[in-house]
Amino acid sequence: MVSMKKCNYIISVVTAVIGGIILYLSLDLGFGIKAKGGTRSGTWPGVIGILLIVFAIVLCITTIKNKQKYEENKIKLTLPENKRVYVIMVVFVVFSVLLTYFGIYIAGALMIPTVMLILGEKNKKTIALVTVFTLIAIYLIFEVALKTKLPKPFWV
Amino acid sequence: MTTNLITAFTEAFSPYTIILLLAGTGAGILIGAMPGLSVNMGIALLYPLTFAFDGVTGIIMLLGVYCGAIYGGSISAILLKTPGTPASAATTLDGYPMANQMGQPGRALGLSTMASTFGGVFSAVCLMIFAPQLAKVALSFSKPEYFALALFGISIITSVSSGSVLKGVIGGLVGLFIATIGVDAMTGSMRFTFKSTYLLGGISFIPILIGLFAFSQVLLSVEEEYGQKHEHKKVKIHRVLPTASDIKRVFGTMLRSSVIGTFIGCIPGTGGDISSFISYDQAKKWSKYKDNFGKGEPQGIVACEAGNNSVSGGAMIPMLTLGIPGDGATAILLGALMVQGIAPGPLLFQNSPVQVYTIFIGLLMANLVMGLFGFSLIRIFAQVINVPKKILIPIIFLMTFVGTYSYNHSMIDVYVMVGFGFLGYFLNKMEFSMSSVILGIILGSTAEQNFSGSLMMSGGSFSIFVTHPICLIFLLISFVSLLSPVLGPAVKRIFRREKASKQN
Repeated sequence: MVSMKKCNYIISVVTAVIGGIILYLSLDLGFGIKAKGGTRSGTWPGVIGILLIVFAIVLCITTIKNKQKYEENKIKLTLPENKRVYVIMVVFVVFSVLLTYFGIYIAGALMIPTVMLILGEKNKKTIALVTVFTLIAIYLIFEVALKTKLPKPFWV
Repeated sequence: MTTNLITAFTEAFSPYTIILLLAGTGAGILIGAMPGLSVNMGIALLYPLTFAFDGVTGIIMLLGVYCGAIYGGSISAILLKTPGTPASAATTLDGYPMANQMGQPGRALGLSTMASTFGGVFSAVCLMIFAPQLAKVALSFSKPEYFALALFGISIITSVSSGSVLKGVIGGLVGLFIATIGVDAMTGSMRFTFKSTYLLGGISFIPILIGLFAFSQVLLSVEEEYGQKHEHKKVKIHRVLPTASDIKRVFGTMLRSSVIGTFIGCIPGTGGDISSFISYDQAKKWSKYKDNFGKGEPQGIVACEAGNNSVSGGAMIPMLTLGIPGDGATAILLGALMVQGIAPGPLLFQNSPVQVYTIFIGLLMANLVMGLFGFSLIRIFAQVINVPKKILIPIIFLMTFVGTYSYNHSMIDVYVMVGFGFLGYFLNKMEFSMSSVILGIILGSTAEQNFSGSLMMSGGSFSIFVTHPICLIFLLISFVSLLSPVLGPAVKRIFRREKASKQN
C-alpha cells in the first residue's frame, strides 16, 4: 500500500516537469499576441504549461498542509490483485504485437483463454465456447453486418 | 418547419434506425445492469460502431445506449443491492428491501421501469421545448462569448471531478494540451509533432476515450473481481406492470423528480447520481409515508429512477445549444457528433434543423423503447446479473481493440488506446477524473480558436472580454469555479473565525 501523500508529491513533480517542457517547446513556436491581434502558435500551449506548473505547486502545498489526511489515505498498488492487473497488462502488450502480425482471430484465440485462465476460470469447455462464440460474433457483427475491416495476418 | 419535421420523422422511423435503436437500448440495459460497467463505458465501447452509419443514425443508437444504461443500473440495484451504475446508487435504499424483504422483485422492477420511462420522456419533451429557445438567445453570441462558454465548460471540470478537484483541473489542462498537438488551425504551423506523420493530425480522440473510459475500467474490474466468489442468484419475477393504486401513490413523486432531474441535467458537471439523491431526499420530505422510506417504499424507488433518467434530456440542452456537455456521457456524445461533422451550438438549429429534430425524436423513442423492453423483457435482462465476470472481462477487452481499430484502421490508435488504458488505471487510483481529460480535449480547440479570434476582432486588446457582458459573466463564473479548490477552504476559515468571534 502506498500513501496518497507520496503519490501527490510524485504527481506534483511530474506535472511541473511536463508543464516546464510544454512551456519550453511553446517558446520556440512563438509566444505572445501578434501586432494585428490573434495569438502566436505557442501562446495557448505556453499558457497551459504555466498553469500546469502553478497547479503542481498548489497540489504540493495542499499535500504538505494536509499531510496527515493524505498519509492515512492508502492506495493499493502492490497487493496480489494489483499484480494480477500487471500480468494482464503484459498480456495485452503481447496481444497488441500479435494483433499487428497475426490478425484479430489468431491473436484473440490466444488472448481470451489466457485472460480467462488468469482470472481463475478452470473449465476448459467454458473457455473454448467463450473463445469461439466471441470470435464468431465479432466476425458477424463487424465484418459481415458493418463491413468493417479488422486486422488480418501479414500473409493475407 | 413542417417539411423539416416530416423529414426528421422519416429518418428517425426508418427500419435501419429502428433496428439500431432497439439494439443500442438493449445493449445499454445489459451494460447498465452489470456492476462494474458504467454508462460512460458503454457509450465509449459502442461508439466505434457509429462510424459505419451516416449522419445521426449512429447517434440515435448511442442515445439508446445512454437511456438504457441509466435504467439498467436499477436492475442490479434492486436485485443485488449493488448499483449497476452510480446513478442507481439511491435505488438500492428502497428497491432492495422491496425485492428482498417484502419478496416483491417484480413490483420493484416495474415501478423502476415506469419511473425511468416517465422521467426520460418528460426530459425529452423539455429538450424539444427549451433547446430551440436557448439556441435563439445563443445566436447573438460572437467569438468572445464562445471562448467564455468553452472556458466555462472546461471549468466545470472542478465539479465533474469525482475525486480531487485539483487533480480534475490538472487532468483538464492535460486534455487541453493534447488538443494542441498537430497542425495549428490558425497559423498552419506544426505543434509538438516531433516529425511524426501520425501526430500531424493530432492524437485521435477515440483511442483516448476508449482507453480512459473502457479499457482502464475493465482493468479496475479485474482488480475488484479478485478473490470474489461468483454466486448464482435465483430471481422469481411475478408481476411487473404497476397496479393502479401504486401509480396513484407515486405519480406526484414521479413528476417532481422528473422536474428536478431535468433541471440538474442542464447544469454542466452534474449527473444522474446527484439528481437521484436529491430527488430521493425531496420525495422523503414531501411524502405522507416518511417512516416507510428505506423499508421498500414505492415513492423511494420512483423518485430515484425518475430523477436519474430525466437527466438525459436536461444534459442535452446545453450540449446541443451551446456545445457544453451536461455530464460525462453527453461529453462523449458531443465528441461523437463532432466526428460525424455535426457541430453542436446555436447554428446547428439554423443549419441542420432536420438533424436536430431527428435527435429530439430519437431521444423520445429511446426512452419509450427502454420502457417497452423493461416491461416485456425484464425477466431476461435480470439474468444478466448471473453472467460471471471471468467471461465478460475478456470479451470487453477484445471489444476495446476492435472498436479502436475500426475507427481509422490504424494499429497506432490501438497502441495509444492501450497506453491511455494503462495510464487511466493508475490515474483512477490517484483520484483523477477521466471526464476532465476528455472535456479538455473536446473543448480545447474551440477555446483556443475563439480566444485568438476575439483578439483579432479587438486588434489585440483584452478589453473585448470585459466589454461583452455575457462573456464577462461566464468568465467570472469560470474563474471562481477554477479557483474554488483554493478559495473554498479560505472562505470557510474566514466564516469560522467570524462565527467564533461573534460567539465570544
